[in-house]
Amino acid sequence: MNSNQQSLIKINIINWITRLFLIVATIVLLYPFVWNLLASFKSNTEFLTDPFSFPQALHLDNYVRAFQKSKMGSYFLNSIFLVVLSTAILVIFVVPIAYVLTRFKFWGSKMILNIYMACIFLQASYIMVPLFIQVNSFGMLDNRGMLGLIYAVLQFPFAIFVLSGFLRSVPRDYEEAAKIDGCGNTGVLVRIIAPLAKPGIVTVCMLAAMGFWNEYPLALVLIQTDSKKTLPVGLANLFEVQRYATDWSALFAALILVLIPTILLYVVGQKQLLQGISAGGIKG
Amino acid sequence: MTWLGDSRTALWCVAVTLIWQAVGYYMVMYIAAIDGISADVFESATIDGAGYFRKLVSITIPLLKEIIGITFVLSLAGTINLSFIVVTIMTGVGRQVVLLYCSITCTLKGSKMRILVMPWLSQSLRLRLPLSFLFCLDYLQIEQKGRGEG
Repeated sequence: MNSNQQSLIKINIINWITRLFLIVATIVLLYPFVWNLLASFKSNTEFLTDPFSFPQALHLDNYVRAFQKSKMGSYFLNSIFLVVLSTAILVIFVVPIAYVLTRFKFWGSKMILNIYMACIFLQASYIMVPLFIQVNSFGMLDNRGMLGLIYAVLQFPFAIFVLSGFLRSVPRDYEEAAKIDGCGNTGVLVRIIAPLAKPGIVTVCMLAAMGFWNEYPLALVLIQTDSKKTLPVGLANLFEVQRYATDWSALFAALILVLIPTILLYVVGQKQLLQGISAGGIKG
Repeated sequence: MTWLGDSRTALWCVAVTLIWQAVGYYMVMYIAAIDGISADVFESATIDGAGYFRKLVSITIPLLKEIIGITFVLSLAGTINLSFIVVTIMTGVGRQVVLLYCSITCTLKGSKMRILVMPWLSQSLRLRLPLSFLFCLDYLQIEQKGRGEG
């Protein structure tokens, strides 16, 4: 055996050790999810006798019960409405803001950008009380449109951070060429920047939409009518109810139902997401 | 089996949960960043005889320095925010906080509860807000350094 073969074997061994480590890490990370999926197929007695066993038969009626019992349909619609509305508001405002703050130098432009960056750290739960009082004084409590607006505004800083990083990597030449051809600032924004920044915009939209879908504290506080509640709040209610009704499998089925849209979103947009981040999105 | 009930292990349980939920998000960022490193750098390192470990230490990590800083700061902010929700849901202690939220929503319109609730909440806010502004400063420094180099 010569030294070449030896080093090949060594590389093989190292490869397999790395692979083993990765496999173990994947199992650890996926286990809670798989456990949840399995539990959603079990009947209640099966779940209570041994929560860790494999399901003996596929009890799909869990899903039906979860959907009917928890009024999941209206929660789903509310969540979808909120996600679409907030993402639309976010894109309409954030793209021009990011464009102006990266391309134009005017008095205070750097300060505004820095204030936006600092606001990344202002999370909803810190400003809950003043926010509640303000919304209350507008008489906008229990209003889904207002909640959508607040979601969008709270996501502004991070979105501007990602997009301005992205726009900085877009060369100026296209804009200059468009201006020479007689395009105004708005024209440049709509015809040049928006198409060029599409991967960045898609990334921002996906990250934001996932955040809106999962948002809990604001929806809990600002929405009171049962028919206007969003999915996370509805799920928490379901959790409280199931604790006394002991219909655990329906609860897990509901959790799986809620997970599906986010997973679909990621699977569909995975390529765009990675592209958007790697093309200068999160580099600051 | 009461891991969450024991004060010695409860914190670790919450920590593991927080790590578990954050792994995917930051993994995506790192995958994207490592994808962005050009293959030529690795190729020339291989020609110079660098092994896997050497490449990781001398090329990948230095080139990821910026994104490590940014993910670090982002995850700090996210953890401070999320720890509230996770603790609320996982341990009994937080249940009172949820009750507190409910009582705010129910009784804010000029009842006595308001006077009871506000100092309590503002105390927890007083603990958190300086922290978050501290991180703002940290972050701005990273941001400015990144610009100076770029």
